[in-house]
This record gives sequence, structure tokens and C-alpha cells, in this order.
Amino acid sequence: MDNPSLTWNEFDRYFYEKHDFYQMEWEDIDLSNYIVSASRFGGLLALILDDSKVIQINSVSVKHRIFIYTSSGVLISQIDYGNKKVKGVGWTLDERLLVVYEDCSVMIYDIFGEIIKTVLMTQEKDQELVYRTVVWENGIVILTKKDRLLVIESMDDPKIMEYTLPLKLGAVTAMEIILPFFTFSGHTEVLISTLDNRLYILAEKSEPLEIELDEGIVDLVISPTGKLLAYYTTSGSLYVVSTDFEKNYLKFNCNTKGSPKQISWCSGDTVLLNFEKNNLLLMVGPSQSYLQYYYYEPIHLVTEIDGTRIISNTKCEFLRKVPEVIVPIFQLGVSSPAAFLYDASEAFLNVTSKGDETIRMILKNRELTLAVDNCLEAAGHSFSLEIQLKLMRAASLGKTYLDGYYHDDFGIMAKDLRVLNQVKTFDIGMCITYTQYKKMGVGLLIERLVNRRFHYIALKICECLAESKDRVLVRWACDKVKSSGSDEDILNSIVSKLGKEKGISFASIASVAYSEGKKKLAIKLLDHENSASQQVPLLINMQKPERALIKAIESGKADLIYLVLLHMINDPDYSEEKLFGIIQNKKIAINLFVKYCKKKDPGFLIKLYSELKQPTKIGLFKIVESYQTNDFNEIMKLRNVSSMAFSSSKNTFFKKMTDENIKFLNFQKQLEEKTPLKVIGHTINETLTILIKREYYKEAKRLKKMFSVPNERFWWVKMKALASKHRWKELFDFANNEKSPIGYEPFVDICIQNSVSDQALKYIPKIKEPITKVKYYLKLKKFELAANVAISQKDQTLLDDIRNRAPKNLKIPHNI
Amino acid sequence: MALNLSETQVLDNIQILLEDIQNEFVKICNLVKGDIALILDPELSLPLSLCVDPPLLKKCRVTKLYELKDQDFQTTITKLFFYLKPRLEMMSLVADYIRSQEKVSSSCEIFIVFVPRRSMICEKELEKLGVLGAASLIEFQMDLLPLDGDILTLPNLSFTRELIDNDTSQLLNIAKSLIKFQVFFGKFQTIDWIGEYSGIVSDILQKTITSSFSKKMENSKVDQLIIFDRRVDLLSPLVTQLTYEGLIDEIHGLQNGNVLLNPEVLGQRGNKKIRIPLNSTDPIYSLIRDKNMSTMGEFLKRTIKNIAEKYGSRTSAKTLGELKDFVKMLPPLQKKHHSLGTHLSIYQDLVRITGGGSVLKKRIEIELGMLADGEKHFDYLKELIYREEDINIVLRLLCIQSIVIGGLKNKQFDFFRREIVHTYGFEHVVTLTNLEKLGLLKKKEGGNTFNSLRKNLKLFDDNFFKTNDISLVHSGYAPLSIRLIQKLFDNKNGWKSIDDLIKNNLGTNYGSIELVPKEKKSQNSKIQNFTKKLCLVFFIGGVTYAEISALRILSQRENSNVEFIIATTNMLNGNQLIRTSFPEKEK
Repeated sequence: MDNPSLTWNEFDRYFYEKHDFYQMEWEDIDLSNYIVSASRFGGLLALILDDSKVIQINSVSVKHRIFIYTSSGVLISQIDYGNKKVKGVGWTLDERLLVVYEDCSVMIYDIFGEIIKTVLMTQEKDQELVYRTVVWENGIVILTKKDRLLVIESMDDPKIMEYTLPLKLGAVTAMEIILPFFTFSGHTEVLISTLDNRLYILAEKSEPLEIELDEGIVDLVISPTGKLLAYYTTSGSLYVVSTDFEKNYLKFNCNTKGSPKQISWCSGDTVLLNFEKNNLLLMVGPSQSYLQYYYYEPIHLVTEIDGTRIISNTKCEFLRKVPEVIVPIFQLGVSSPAAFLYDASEAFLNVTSKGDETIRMILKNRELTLAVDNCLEAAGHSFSLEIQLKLMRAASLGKTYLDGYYHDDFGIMAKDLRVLNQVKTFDIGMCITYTQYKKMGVGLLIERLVNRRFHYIALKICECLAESKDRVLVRWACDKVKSSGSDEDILNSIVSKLGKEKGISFASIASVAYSEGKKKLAIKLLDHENSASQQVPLLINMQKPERALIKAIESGKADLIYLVLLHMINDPDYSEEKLFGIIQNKKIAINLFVKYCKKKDPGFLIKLYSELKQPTKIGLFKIVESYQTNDFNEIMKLRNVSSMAFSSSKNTFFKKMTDENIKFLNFQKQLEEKTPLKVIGHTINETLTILIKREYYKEAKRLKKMFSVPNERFWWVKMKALASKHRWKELFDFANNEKSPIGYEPFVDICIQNSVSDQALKYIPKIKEPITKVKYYLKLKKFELAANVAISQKDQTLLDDIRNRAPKNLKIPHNI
Repeated sequence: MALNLSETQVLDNIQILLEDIQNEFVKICNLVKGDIALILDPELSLPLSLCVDPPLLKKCRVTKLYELKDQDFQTTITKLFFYLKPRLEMMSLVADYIRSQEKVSSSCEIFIVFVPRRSMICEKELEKLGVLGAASLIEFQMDLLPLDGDILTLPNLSFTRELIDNDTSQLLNIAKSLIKFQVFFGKFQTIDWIGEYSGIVSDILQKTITSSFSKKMENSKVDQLIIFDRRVDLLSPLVTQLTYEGLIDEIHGLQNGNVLLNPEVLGQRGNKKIRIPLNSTDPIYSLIRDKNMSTMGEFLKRTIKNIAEKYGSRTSAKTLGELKDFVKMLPPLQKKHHSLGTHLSIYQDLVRITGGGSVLKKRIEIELGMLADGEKHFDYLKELIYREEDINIVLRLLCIQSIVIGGLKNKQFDFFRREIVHTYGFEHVVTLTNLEKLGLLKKKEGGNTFNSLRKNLKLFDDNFFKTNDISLVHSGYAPLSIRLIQKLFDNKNGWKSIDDLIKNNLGTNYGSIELVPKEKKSQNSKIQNFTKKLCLVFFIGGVTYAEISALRILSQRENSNVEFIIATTNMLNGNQLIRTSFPEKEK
């Protein structure tokens, strides 16, 4: 093979090369009749007939269809979309097809035409029509004919945002977007150019930014990094500016008649213009340099991160800036360590000793590690298998001279190349460069393969790269479930392949089986699922609530238990009996159910309690409920329910207390009717207090008797009530009327508390215990009286103690 | 860096948990650009204040803070974050807020942050209310947070109600918090659990430990986990706490490691309560928090003398070097001095409340009499009711009485229940039922199980001053909970040695799990020979300050080779425990 640099074009200080990926497999496709939409990273092509071209199509079958081809031109599927009008087509990263129809509906298809999701951008009744649309990897912008600008940033969570348009929007010539992760606001920005020489920048929640230009924009494209904007004007000039419009990088007059069919970015800051009518593909660099490629057939440009894919009727090519690591290896007249190593490796093959000397020279210059690394990386970037092999050989040879070289890098590159070369074969048709592969990640590559149903290759790649096989296996199983065959065969084949793997989501497989109508298979598959969070929702869907509830309880997750319970409550198919039957004997489920009902559905709770034969709980619940209302009749009603409940639960004490409370409430009610007193809501003690304070003694007595208030309590209540009203005389009479059942200390205490020591003194003589008497006298500083007690008790130590505490001027006797 | 060298290092390491949660908070705020308004579930205000302070709020551009209440709501800020416990009853309020805010501005960014985890029923409710689409839902996994150098709490959980309702739904969250703990501090080597709830948590832990732990976590810093189900010992929280810290909690109430005091307690004027942080960063407090009130006076006197002497050293300092040493000493000395002043004031106030002739002193004597010998004090209990003492106090003592004598006789049982209902209101029929459910109050049936517990576990020890026994935290009563934990360390066979007592007298179960294979453990223990073993004790359903003091005393015993970190769903005292049995006033 010749030196690859022979095919390079020097351009703008760099080298560019065009590589033929494929000769197209398709036949009789004339791209000029189609609108093409390609998926990034060397992905699929969607072709749809261009309505704007008045052409004779012989075959009806071409109309209303989207054709999906690989980049190598192999037809994968045709999607029949019926009588709608397509306004835009795009691809998600994992190669789902996003189609925007004129009626503002958006559909997501898998590559075999199955609808995954439908989103309506406007209300149907509005009958809005799409004027223009931009579709990108996960979002959509629509400009409607009624001048509304609608944006969805994520199709996974389609929230529709409406951006404010300028009041007077001229005729739109082009529309483009800046992706959310490139903008300051973190949201998508939309650029709209109009015939009246204006460019608008529209963002969420902000007024449109208007830029007036010298001439009108015909087409505009944002660079893959989001930093640059290229636009083509009516006068035939190409401009490159920064997206913040601070800097102008280029103005280039194309001197070409007509406007380009397509503008595309190529490897950074170079722009491609597709003047299809002139058979010209014009490449323009930042320093006014340009290069012309001639095509005598229609082409479609696909901007990739490191170059441009060029699809024509016959070929799939790739135009890119030659990666910097390759250049010094092959560039004629330039020498680099990697180039020396490469040459040395070639010399080895020819069995000359020159190779060894060269390598020792590089080693001596301490450049061998760099040389090996460069050869490795260059191998990754090379398209030709032969060159790849040579470079790998050079790297392999070089590293044997190095002590402690990190060999993993070599192994990884070898594996990566195996993967890339494998998917590049025309039947898979994924023309992914090494740069793209590193950017997209293995996960996405595998996802795409699985979407294409290349399970086996995906699995082999996982094994080769030591990636988790779970996803591939599950997807394989899901496709397997859909296949024809007996349930048993399918189950056996799935379990035999997947049974030993850890972390396989059998629930997602079961879910597919269920939606395919294979219910028995679904349940059997679900038994292999380990995660309850996966199992339970599916069992509910399959109308197996009891099984779901058991699994939920086993998991201990309250949310899952609630999921089952709520489903049963809300599903009219489940009668209460059925529901109670299921949750009976399941303590945790009952507890959670009670918690929920207490807050949301008390009526249901009562039913549950009676079903579970727990009338005491009904009684108690009704008591709690009664404290949430002030309505007397309502309270009485609830109280009666409680009473009945307690009597059926044979809880005699509660029954008695409740009946007593009913009696008491009636008593209070009557009292309020007869007197101006307000007593409802008060306890028995409080009511007694009120009655005594307001001198309703007869009623107080009646209350005491009716509810057999113990004498002692009555005395306390009355004493406190009188004291609080400072009715001291009455209190004294009360205390003298009969012998106090509570002693007289409380009387002294309450007088002291109210700072009426003269009153307190009256009760002290009535106290039995002499020592208590002394204590109180001392507290009231009546030392003589205290002394008297001590003397009468003939207690010398007590007397001495009293004397010691008394002020010196008081004459406390020394002896008894 | 070993966790188990000194108390300060325990604190340093534990701080990681706080930082992690703070980082999480910042991350959530950074989901949006511009000013932020936080709207908090009122039940989250206090827990959040444990990890999110004003500077952090400022850093996160939080300019407005609201509590979610039944009120009109409007704000000019367009980025709203609702921080919610997954409480079903709050969702309609959230919906109201969102709707009224959408009227003000159509371009709001609304986030509903569930703490600690999302809840399906709440989401369904939001969906039903038609606001699910307007907001993004996220989780804020606020798990174990340090309350002090050796105390962790799960501030978002209030687990006390669950004790009554037999609600096990939160146990998974508890287990998850312990799994997270292990992510930071390595795998536990053994788990000892006691009580039904503990068993469930231990089961979950065992499952996850065997299935999904990385090698990184093999290097365990915490040797042992003890999980204690509060229902095994509900008596101890009822007993009046008589450590300095415990008594402050009983009298003034400690919240998030702070106490609010009336100014006059501190000898100041004014009406506004004064907030005093009480934790191990206070040099005096860390010395006295675990002391019994009756030994505090002596201790404080000594400390004052000590500080005075150090101040005095200024006059004796002659050479420049000595003066320099003195100056170096000044800042910590001044800090101590200041702190000492505060604690003297608080102490004097406590002495006034608990001193001779006080109501509290009498009550404590009665309480101790019950616990020591099973004395019956029905007249006193009756009088408490007739005096219309605080119902919490009455029920605490009544429950203690019921437990120590193995239940009340039929007549007494009905009598007290009736007197309580008459005096405090009919709704307390529910309270009494709940106390029965908890086993705190009961009718006499069969024998007295408490007597043999007291005897076998030495629950009462008058000699605590001399022996420095854990019973000093209640002036004689040793908390059953801590005695049980002590058994694990004092007896080679641990709980097996009291199998009968646990199964029959306490009526519960226990278990022990070895998570690290024997040979590995012996390797580890070689390294750890010189350091104390570190043990995390998790209380499901709360722990009292007195119990924590008792654990600290345990680890400070001469022959002790264990250091404790305490984790709990919440801090608990007798009044709080009684209050949980009150009827729920929510709908």
C-alpha cells in the first residue's frame, strides 16, 4: 500500500483526506428525490420522498413511507406513516426515529416502525400547522403557521415550552438551534432569520433578541461545538461569527450562482457548502482558503464531530482533517519518533538490522514511549486495515524495548479496533471513527446494535470489552418473547441462557411477554425476578394483587405495599370484601392501610375495623374524630357509635366511661340551656370549678352525685375554685363545715400561694402532725407559734432549732 | 485514621456525614440558576437546621424561607424548592401553593424534594391534584446527622408514634441510613440486636451486606453494631433523669442540642428566651453533663478553684517565659470562665427546683422508692391527680407504679383511669388505651416480672457514688436498656447468659450476627489491640440523655475496652413518650 499521505490535500495549514467508507448497496436511489436525515456517529439514514419536487414516481409504494438504510445503503425497514404530511425527521442518539408531522404531532418510532411514543405539541382543537421545524437528538422546535414557537428539550420527559416571538416576524428564511448545554441559560436557544435582513435569538422566558444585518440570511448552521455560527447571505457570502456575535471570523464571497443546498461544518472551523446545481462541494477555511470538490450526482452532507459524512447515490465517504497524530508519521520529509519506529518495524519485516539500531536510537533519545503511544493512537485513527496492522506492529515492537510499559493500552486499542472494524462491515454499516467511538461510548454502540437486533455481536463486544452483558441479554430475551414458539420453549431458552447471570431484570422481560398477551409466560418469567420493585408493579398489571402484596411485604418497602393497596382501592373490580380478604392476616399491610385511611378515607377504615372484628378500635377512632368538630349533635352521634362499639367488644370500662360521657354532655347541654354558663368542651373537674366559681352550688352537688365524684376530689376542686376567687371566708366555712378528707395542708398551701398568710394561719392549728405545723409556722416566719408547738410537744431539739432560725430580737424560750 | 482514639476524633470523623448531606443540599440548589425560595414542611424546619445554616443558605442563593402552612402564598422568586416529608396530608397544601404561584408567574421552576425518600402515595396524590407535571421530583437523603461528638440522629424520622401503631414502614429507612453509615466507616463486624424492630433492621442489613458491599468497606472502623428496640425498655425513659444534662432536658427541654432559657435563670433581664448550645465543644459542659446533680456542687466548686488558681498564676509569674505561658493559657481559660458562669447559673436554678422541700424532690423520692422496693404510692398518685398536676407527670409515675408492681389491681386500675378521664378529659380514654398497648399501664395478671429483672440485672444500686455505677444517672435506678447492653460486654456469653430473662420476663427476642469471618477478625484485632473497640448503638424509637450518659460512664470504667457512638431515631424523655400516646389531632 502506498503512503496514505499521498491522498491528503493540504489546506489551510492542515491536511484533509477523503475516505471511501462504502459503495452504496442500494440501487436506483436518486437522492435528489429524497429528504435525507442521518443519525450521528456513522448511524442510520432515513429517506423520505421530497414533496416539493414535482416528479413522476412510478411506484405507489414509495409514497407515505420512510425508508431506513444503513450508511452502507442496506435497507433495514420501511415505515408506513399513512396520510400525514411529514415536516421533519430526526434521530435520537440510540437511533429512535423522531418524526414531526404537519398537524403538530410528534412520533417516536423504533427502527422497525413500532411507535414508542406520541406527543402532541398543540391542542387538537387549535388545528395548528407546522411551518418549520428543527429536530435534534432529543428535542424539537416547531414554528407554527400561527407564529407560535414551541420547544421540547427532552423527549423522555416532554415538557412543551413556548418562546416569545417578535411582534412582527418577517418571512422566515432559516431556523437553527443552539443546544441547551452550550447556552448560558441552560435552555435551548432558537435562531430565526427573516427576509427583512433580521436575525432573532429566542430563548425561554426572555424577550427576543434582534440583530439587524446588512443583508438577508439564506441559511445558517451552528458548529458541533456550539461556539460558531456559519451563515450564507443573499449576496452569496459566507460568514462565520461566534454565537455570541462578539467576533467575526470570516467573510468569504463564494462567487457562485444560487444558494447552497446544504451547509455543513467539517472538522472544527472549516465549512462545506453543497452547491448541488453547480456540481460543486466548496470547502472554505478560516483564512479565506478554499478547496473545490466536484460531484456529478446529488449528495447529502452529515456533520460529524470530527468530519463530514458525504452520502451520494453511489458512495458513502468521509471528509476530515487528518488527525494530528497521524500526520508526522506519514508526512513526507518530516521525521518524528513515531515515524522512525514505524520505519524500523517495516525494516524488521525485511530482516535488516537497521530496525534495531533505529529503535535503540529512539530509546536513547527517551522518545520511545511517545513513539509507541503515537503509533497506537494513529492505528486507532487509521481507516485502512493494512495501515492499522502496520502501526500496531510498530507499537508492539517498540514496547518490547521498554521496561515497565503499561501494556493495557495496547490491549485496549487492539480490542477497540476489532470492535470498530467489526461494526464497519457493510452488513452492519456503522462507519464510526475512533474519535466518534470514544465520544459516543461503548454503551451507546451496544444500544444501537441491540436496537438493530444484532444481539450476538453486541454480546461478543460486551465480552471482548468486559462490559456488563445484562442489557443485551434482556433485550435479546424481550425479542425472544415476541417470537413465535411455545411458552415453554421460550421460557426454557431464556432461563437457560440468562438464569445464571446476576442482576438480570426478568421483570422487564415479563412485562414484554405480558404486553404481547403471553400472560402465563409473563408470570413464570416474573418468578425469576429478584427485585420486588420490578416484580410488584407488573404483578398488579397482571391482575395478581395478592401475589403482588406478598412480594411487596417481603421487600419491606412501604411504597410497594401502598402501590398494591391503592390499586385495589381504586380498581372497581375489587370489592371491599375481596380487598379485606386479601389483606387479612397481613399485619404490615393492615397497618399501612389504617395509616392511609386515617388521613384519606375514614369511612373505609371503619369498614376495615368491622371486617377485622375490632370494634374497640372503631370506638376509639370515633372518639378521636369527635375532637375535630364543635358540633354538639355530631359529637353525640359519634359518641353513640363509640358506645355501641365498646359494648359489642365487651369492653365494659370504656362502655361505662362513654355512656357516662354521653350523660355528662347532656348534663352540660341542659346546663347551658338553663344558665348563662358555657361549659361544653370542659372536663368534669372544670365544669365543677365553673359551677362553684359562679356559685351554682346545687348544680355542682348534682354533678358530683351524678358522676360519683369522690369526696376528696370534690374538696380539692372546691378549695381551688374558692381560693381562685379569693373567697376566703367561704373557704374557711367550707373547711370547718365537716372534717376535711384531704387534710388541711392543702388549705395552708393554697393560702400561702395566694400570699394571704393571715388566712393560712387559720388552718395550721387543724393540722395533725406537730412537725408539719412547725414547718408551716416557720415558712410563715411565726417563730413564737412554732416554739409553742415544740414546747407542747416537749421537743427540746426542735425548740433549739426554731430558736436558731428565729431573728435574735425575738424571745424564744430556751427550755421547755 | 482510627475512629476510636479519643472523643475529639470521633467528632472529626462523624463530621463527614454532615458534610455529605450539606454537599447534597448544594447540589440540589445548583439544579437552577438564580435566587431560590425554600418552602419547608414545618416538621422539617428543626431537622434541616441541624445541617443547613444561614451561611450555607446564602451560598446556595436561598433568599426566602417559608413554612408550608394553610395561608395565602406568593413570592416573586421563580425557583421554588419544596422540602417535604412524605406526608400525604400536606400534598393539597403543596398543590395550592403551586397553583397560586403559577398565577403570578408562568415561568416558575418548581422542585419537590422529598426527605428522605420519595413516596409513591404522595406522588399519586400530587397527580390527582393535577400539579405533578408542574414540578420535578427529587430526593434529599438526609440520613444520620451528628448531634454531638458521639451522638447521631435521624432527624427526619419521628419514630415514637410507630411504637404504638406497630408501623414497620420506616424500618427500611433506618436500615438504609445504617448502610450509608457503613459506606463511610466500613462494615460492621458484628451485629447484636434486641427486640422485634431491631431484628427486622438487622435482617435487611445482613441481606445488603452480603449482596452488595464493595471491598473498600472491608476496612471497618466501627467494630460492633447494637440495635435496640425501644419497646424492650419503655420504663427507663419514664424515670426522671438526674444527670445535669438529663435534668436540663426534663425541666427546660433540649432541642437539637440547644436549650432555651428564661433570662432570669441566667441572671439577666428581658422577655426573650436565650438560646444556649449544649454540646461537647463547651469545655465545662463536657465535664459535667454526665454527673449526678448531687455531686455537681462539689465538682463545680473544685473547677472554680482551679480556674481561680490559674488566673492567680499571673501574680506569681515572674520571668518572661512564665508570663508567656500564662498569656497562652488565657483564651481557653476565658472560654472556660464564661462557660462556668453560665453553668453555675443553670445549676443554681436547678438546685432551687429540685432542692429540699420542693415538689420535684418529693416526687423523685417517691419514684425511687417504687423502683427500689416496689413501694406502693397510690395516695400520692391520687393527690397528684387531685392537685391537677401536669398529666405527663401523673401518667409517668402511674406507669412506673404499674410496671414495678406488675400491674394494678382491677379496682385501682379502673379507679385511676376514671379519675384521669374526669380530671383531664374524656379524650384520654385513647391515651390510656395507647399506654396499655405499650405495656406501660396494665391490669394485674400473673406474676411480677419486674422483681426478677431488678434482682438479676441489679437495676437498683444505692451505692452508685462509690462504685461509679451507671445507676447514678437516676440516683439509684440503672436504666434497664443500658444494663442489657452492659451484659454484652461484662459477660462472655452476652445475652445468651440471660436468655430466659429476655425471652420470658421481657417477652422479646434477640440475636447476634458475625459479619466478618473469624480469621479476618483476628487479623484486625491484632492491629486494634491497643485501641478501644468502637461500638455503634442504634436506638429505634429514641434514647434519653440519661441513657447516653450511662453509656459514657460504661466506656469510662477502668477495665472498659469499648467506646460508644449513639445513634437514634430521635431524642426522647418521659414527657415526650407519654405525649405520643395522646390521641392524634390531625386529619
